[in-house]
Amino acid sequence: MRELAMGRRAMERAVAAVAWAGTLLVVAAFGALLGELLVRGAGELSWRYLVEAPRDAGRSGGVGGIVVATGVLVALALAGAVPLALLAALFLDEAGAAQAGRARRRLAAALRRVLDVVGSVPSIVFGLFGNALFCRAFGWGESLLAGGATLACMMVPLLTIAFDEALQRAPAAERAAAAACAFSRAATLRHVVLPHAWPLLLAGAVLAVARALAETAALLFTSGYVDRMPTSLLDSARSLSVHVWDLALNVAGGEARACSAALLLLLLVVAIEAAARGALAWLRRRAGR
Amino acid sequence: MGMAMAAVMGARLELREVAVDYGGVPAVAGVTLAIEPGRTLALVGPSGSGKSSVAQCPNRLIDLVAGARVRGTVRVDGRDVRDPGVDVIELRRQVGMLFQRPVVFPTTIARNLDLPLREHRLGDAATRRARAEQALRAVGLWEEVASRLERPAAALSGGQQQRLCLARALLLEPAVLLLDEPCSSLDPLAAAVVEEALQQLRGKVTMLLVTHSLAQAGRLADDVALLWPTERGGRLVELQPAAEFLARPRTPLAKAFVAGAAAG
Amino acid sequence: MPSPRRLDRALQLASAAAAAAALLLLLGLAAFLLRESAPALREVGLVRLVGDRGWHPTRGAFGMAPLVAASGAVALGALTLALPLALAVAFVRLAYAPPRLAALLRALLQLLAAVPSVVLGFFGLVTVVPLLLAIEPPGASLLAGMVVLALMVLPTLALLIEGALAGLPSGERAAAAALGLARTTVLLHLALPRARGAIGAALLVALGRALGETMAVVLVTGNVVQWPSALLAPVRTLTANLALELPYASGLHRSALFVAGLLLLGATAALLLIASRCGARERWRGAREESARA
Repeated sequence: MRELAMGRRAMERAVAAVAWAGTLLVVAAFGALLGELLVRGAGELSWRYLVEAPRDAGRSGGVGGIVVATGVLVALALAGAVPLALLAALFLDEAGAAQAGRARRRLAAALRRVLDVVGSVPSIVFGLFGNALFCRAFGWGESLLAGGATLACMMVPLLTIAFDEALQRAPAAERAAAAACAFSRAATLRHVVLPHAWPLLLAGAVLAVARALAETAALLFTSGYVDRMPTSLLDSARSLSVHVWDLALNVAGGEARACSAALLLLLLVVAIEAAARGALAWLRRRAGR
Repeated sequence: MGMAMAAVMGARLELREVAVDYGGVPAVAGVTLAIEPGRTLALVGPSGSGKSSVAQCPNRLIDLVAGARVRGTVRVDGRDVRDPGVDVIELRRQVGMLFQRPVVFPTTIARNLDLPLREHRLGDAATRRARAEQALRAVGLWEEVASRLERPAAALSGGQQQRLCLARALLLEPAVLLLDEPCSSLDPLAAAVVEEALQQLRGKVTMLLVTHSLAQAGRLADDVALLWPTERGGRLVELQPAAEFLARPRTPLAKAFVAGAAAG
Repeated sequence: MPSPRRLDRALQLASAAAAAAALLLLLGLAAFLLRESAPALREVGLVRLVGDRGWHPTRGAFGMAPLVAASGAVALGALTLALPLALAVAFVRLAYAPPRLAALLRALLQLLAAVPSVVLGFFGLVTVVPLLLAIEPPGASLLAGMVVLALMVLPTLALLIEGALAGLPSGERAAAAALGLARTTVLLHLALPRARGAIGAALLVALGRALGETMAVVLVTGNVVQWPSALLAPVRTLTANLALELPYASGLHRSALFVAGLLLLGATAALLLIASRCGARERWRGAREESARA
């Protein structure tokens, strides 16, 4: 009996040791990633780097126009995707209500499944789609507009799923109370659903911004590579992520500058995510009081 | 005019062969009863007899329950509530409701009362404030909350919240009030205060009171209807004036129910 | 200001239209890929798209098999590397780490999940590839792709697996505690068997993501079109091929690339549907929600 217990304890220790070792390996890999970028890229980061135009295919100079192009792409994507996703989420919310007809409920179920599927489509496939539809069929060419529209298509499923979850936060009892007070649907949304849902709605949108910033493959054939400051929505322009890829793969001697751009991109994305999470946690704590 | 709905005497509420099932599972089997304007009827019965289901029919709140199906007719003021021409919002203005647990909106006390008024465009800001005060006085809550109208409604006690909900329902001057066990989640003291507020409303609005307390039915209602669960859903077994029901129940089930309540 | 009823009606119409638009998105996606790949499907045909000797589209050889094989090899290899690590992290967080460290680990996983894939790929290019180069040139290889992709799917996989393992009913947990069972025993013998389905589903979705990833792969795999024969030999995946060739491709070449896109779409959609059939209610989005909640 005692021996058995000993054997079990040894086994316990072995499993723990292996698990700790694996975890350390993951932490080390992440440390290496951060360390590498910080050591090699931080030196270049400065205000001048942010505003100066790239020179010599990006080997020197800054990322001036690229930052602007990135912002425009993300803004276009948000402007296209947020209203559509919000409305689609409202549809799901309404169809979830019991009095909705059978057809509506079926449509909602189908939509949920389709959103799951579209949300898992590789981003490069969205790139192909955007290239065929926006650049060619619509004749927008490789442009900010085409890139933003492609990003918007990618964001719609993710945003709708996030918004749908946010709307479900409103308690059924309060919805019933609103109905009993003879509230219209619009009033119920505004006074009952939104007060519960808005932190998560906002968090969903902010996380979508982070995803859009990180996106590269969908932009390769839709917004193009041009590294000048864009002057119109139909200009081709490159995002920060495409800049990293181009410097790393196509520009000999571009590695050092790719480090800076990658670090900048990473910092932006991580800062946005952390801010969204932090704000959400803070709101939760406040609501919990 | 001491109260918001003093002028209104309430509407006639009539249920004919009302049956309810949830996804095929029967809850109510053909209940027929009528409440004359201004009278209060208490719906009593063991749990599972479909009392709450019946209470959710007149304002069609049962539409919000997944899979619920209603048959038969419910008339408010002579009009079939499930007629396609009926505007649900208008109907729910006419038929107010109080739930088992008080449900305040996640905002201030003042706004809880202001929202329904604004939603239905009932007066300018000053009028709305006056009406809110009137409603709060009608439920005996004004003295308690006058100094903290801008505080969150959720900070009130359970009994205060329930009276706030009652005030909120009264603002729209309903002709019928549905009360779904309005005191059962409250402690005895709070329940007594809510009951007192309801007592003040008697005769001024038609009330359908769901309760599991025969004593409360005796105190608040003009008539008592006993529902009893069967495998085909709850059935109406006896309907009598309250005093009669308590003193001289006619059917064996009612006798057993009254005796059980007296013993318990 | 419109009346509440008019507003409600407008809202209802607009939301139904938006829902229809979102539905159309998938149809449009599939339709456009089909339309663009039609010439290649018609003139080259499925047989040659699979069976041609190698991928030399400018010389009329459209054999995608090596690309598909490379994609599969990189993705499966990545999962093989990531699964044990994800299990390890999940075990540590659930059973071994003190609460503070567990929370820190979680934050780290979330950070790692947020790293843009192009940054991961770049990291692979400047660290993993030189390491492998020291062993055997050229360094940019199948293995490099596997390592980088493993790093990419690991955080979400770990969070998903943790969610599945933590889903032990509290009654069972209490019973186990009452019997004095060690946490490791509970995890290995109670939680793990119960979570098998959910872990399987998580792996399927992770496989979909790994198959569809472009940037993290194209920077580190060397991009030579050949059958994946050795871990340290360069390969080119379907996605990398798209990224490299679409900008200049035209005619049948371009069309054949769209066939590859169609293939990717079908594969990821199928994987997702199988995963959701597996009965795992928590999916990728579950993990996203999970990570948003922390």
